[in-house]
Amino acid sequence: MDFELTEKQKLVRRKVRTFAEDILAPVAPVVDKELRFSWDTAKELSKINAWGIQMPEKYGGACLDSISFAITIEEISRVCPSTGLSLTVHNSVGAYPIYEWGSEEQKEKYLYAIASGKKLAAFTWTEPNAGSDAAGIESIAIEDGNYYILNGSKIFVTNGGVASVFLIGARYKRENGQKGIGVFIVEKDMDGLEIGNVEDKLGMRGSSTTSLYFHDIKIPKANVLGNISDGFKIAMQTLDVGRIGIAAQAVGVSQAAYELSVEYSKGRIQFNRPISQFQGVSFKLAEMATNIDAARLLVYRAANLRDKNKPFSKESAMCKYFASDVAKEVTKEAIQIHGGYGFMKDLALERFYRDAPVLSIYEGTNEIMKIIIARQILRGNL
Amino acid sequence: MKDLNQYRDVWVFVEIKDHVMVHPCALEILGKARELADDLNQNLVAIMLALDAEQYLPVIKEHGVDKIIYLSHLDLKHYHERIFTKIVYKLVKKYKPSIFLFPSTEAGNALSARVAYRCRTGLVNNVLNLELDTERGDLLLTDKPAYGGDIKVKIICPNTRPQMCTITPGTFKKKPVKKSNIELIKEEYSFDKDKLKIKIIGAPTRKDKPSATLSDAKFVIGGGAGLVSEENFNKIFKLAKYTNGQVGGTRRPIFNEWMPEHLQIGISGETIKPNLYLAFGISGAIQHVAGITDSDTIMAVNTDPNAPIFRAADYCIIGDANEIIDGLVKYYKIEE
Amino acid sequence: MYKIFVLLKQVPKSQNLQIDKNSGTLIRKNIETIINPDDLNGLELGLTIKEQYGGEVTAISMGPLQAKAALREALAMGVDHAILICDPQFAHSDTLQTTLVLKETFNKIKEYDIIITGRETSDSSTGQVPFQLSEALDIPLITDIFSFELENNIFLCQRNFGHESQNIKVNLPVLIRIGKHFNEPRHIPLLGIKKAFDKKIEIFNYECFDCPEYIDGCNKSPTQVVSIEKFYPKRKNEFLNGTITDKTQEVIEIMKDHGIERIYTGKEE
Repeated sequence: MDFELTEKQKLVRRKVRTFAEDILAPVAPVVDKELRFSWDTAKELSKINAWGIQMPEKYGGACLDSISFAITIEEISRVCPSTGLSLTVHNSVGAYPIYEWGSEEQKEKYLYAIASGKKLAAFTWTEPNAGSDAAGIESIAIEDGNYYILNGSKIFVTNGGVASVFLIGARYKRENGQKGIGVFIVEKDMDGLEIGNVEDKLGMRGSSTTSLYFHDIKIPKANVLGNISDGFKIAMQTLDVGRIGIAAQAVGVSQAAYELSVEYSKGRIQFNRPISQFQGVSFKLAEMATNIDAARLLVYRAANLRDKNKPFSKESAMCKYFASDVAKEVTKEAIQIHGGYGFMKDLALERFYRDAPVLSIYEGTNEIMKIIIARQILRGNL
Repeated sequence: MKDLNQYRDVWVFVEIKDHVMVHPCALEILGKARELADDLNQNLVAIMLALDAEQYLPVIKEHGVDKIIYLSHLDLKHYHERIFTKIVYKLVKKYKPSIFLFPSTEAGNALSARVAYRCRTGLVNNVLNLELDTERGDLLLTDKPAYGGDIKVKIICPNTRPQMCTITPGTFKKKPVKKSNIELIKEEYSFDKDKLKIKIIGAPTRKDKPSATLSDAKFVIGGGAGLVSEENFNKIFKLAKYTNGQVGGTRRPIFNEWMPEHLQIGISGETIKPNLYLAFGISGAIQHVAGITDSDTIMAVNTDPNAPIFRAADYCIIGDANEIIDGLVKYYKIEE
Repeated sequence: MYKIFVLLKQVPKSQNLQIDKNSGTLIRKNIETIINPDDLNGLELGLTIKEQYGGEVTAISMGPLQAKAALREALAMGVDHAILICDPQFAHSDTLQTTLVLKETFNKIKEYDIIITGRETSDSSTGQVPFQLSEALDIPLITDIFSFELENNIFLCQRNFGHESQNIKVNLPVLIRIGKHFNEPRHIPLLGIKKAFDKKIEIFNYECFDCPEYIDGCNKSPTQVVSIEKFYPKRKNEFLNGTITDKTQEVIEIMKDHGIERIYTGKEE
């Protein structure tokens, strides 16, 4: 087991970091303040193939491995977590399901545009009455000749205001539970799709989050993703992949807050010495470093299992819940280390503190992650 | 180039600036070279190529030369790579100097590099100091910054001749002294211009007027990326104008076209030695700092508490340079 | 189809370099290395020429085996081929030896239309190689261009020299030294990184050149380093505190201390 990154992965880290520091750093505070998604940044991301990190070259993707994907999301999130969010959702729960379960026609129709960033993608599942209880969704798509007629709504859709391609989970049978749910590909310009206002959020404000409302949308049968009866399974497997990206995002947020804390503590002089020389502070830094490292290794391990086509649901849930908890703790302690300055909007730190809390909530709350892990353990997969 | 003892005398390439005057850097080098010639007990020789070259002889004679070798021709009005290289190389082959010094200007660096290649000898650029290494048979010992200026290296050129260097303006001081019995040698000019590969179409156009040299200024205000906009950068031009200062800066202002290239301060630009240098919004990369270390006092303003410029400064202010500049503009009652 | 060659060098990311007290040489272990910043502009120019006029771009570097990483980055940026010139015989080469090795390299390559170099390296900062290579290969060198066109093997450009700008026309082959302000090097695309590792880096060693005697970096470099030491500028490093008004006042005081006053320029209030 080699703990070193390959030369390729090291180059990915260096170059994405250079890109992030050059292009994203000036934009990050602006999109946060103005609550907007930056299309200029989106164009720059297209130039470096960031919208199709793992997609095959023939679709315009970069065909990189999952660890390189995690590194990319981490380095982007280290500078602008909002951008990291838009990217990871588009890549891992937008492009990936179409690649994995899409028909040849669907891949032809959508993957070129998605992998190149010409069209952005969103994955929608959560509804007002169905969050953690994913099988409790009520949006309904009734078969009618060559179409399904979709009615219902979704909330908290990441990329909602900027996506052109939506993957929507809806019931095609009035059954309860996980059965009778399908995944449908809906395009932005389809009649009856209403996109709500951009939500005003505590954090991740540069990422567009909206509700969606479905008024008798006519979805061609050709737009059903995979077998219609596999909808729930597709969603769960998709989220396994998505969680690696979320965890990588959390590692990036943690890394940013941690680096700021190290710099600050070396320069802040109190009682005639830098505060980094006091164990009260240096111990915090040691704990941060250890936890971030552990989180990162869990992410790489899940990514590695995925690339080897081995089961990774448990490991993916582990890295997501661990990394997001670490991010919340690290950003909290970082503010404490910075003292009064940490509380000021002058410094970038408070933005990372506000971006952190949602990491333990979306793509499956940490409570659900623990249910997933516990279930695996109790089945004998210790 | 086998018998090194055949090589004698200290040569200085006297560049002519803008076809009107002897380049001040060449005179500064003559000041130092006179010392070397005295220590070696050899001649100090000026090499000059120009149009109407005779007009520059009086100034050169005032700076300690024993001999001047020169050519005068219309083709020599502007520095020309092929013509100058061929002529200077021929002179070196004929007269065999031991040491050959050039100003570190565009022309000086280009010419010295080409001549050094033809002579298969060593060339050291932008030296900080020159002395004789008495332990090694009076070899020229040069001091130059490397690795971005963080490190100083001492270099010799033991086995080939001439030992060549380029020197940045402002490194040495002019030392006017007039020797008696200065020998003048005017060489004949000839060059077959049909052999030239580069064709210059039309007359060259002047871009901007030559200004007072940064390297002589007593008060310099430097501007960097931290000034953020051309509008802000222009304020330091105004400030300098009203306080008899000079403006310089780093690479970013040049890239953004806030200021012309010749105002760059640092390893690839000018070395300054003012009484006071104010660095506004400059991070202090070592390439810049190497050009300011001879300032009497350095004061730096930057928003980043960890900016490297603070290590090189006497007075450090963490803050927005633009706000301070606005305050100065107001205090000195400078019209907008 | 133009054959374009871009020269690049791998250099230390120069921050806090340390010197080994015993050997008096630079401690090179564990130092992060990068492509010399000026060479990034050269690579960008090479790729731009290829995109506009067609051709193939080859990145060339001379250095130890670890310089392969720099060439890998050049491949990721989009160059078609990469050559590493590497041999113990080339170690410790100064600029003259470097030029002689490059001369052998291009004699071996035989066909080249455009060779591009950056201004200078961030470690040795000599800036000599473009001029010396121009002499060695007897091809024209053009520096500091700010616009150019290629037509039927003729290179037309406008460039700066001193305070002047010139219009130049020259037949290929040509050597171009590119300035830092000419372009903004592109960010490396992720697909480029993936492809870079699918390509092979060619190695040229001493034997490739029929072992010319005059190439011997260690023994035949005319310039030799006698000693290395760290530069320690000694300054007060006094931090001034207070509000912006206080700080501005401090600046004014220091200006006054140094005899700087407002001068009257003639047209007054």
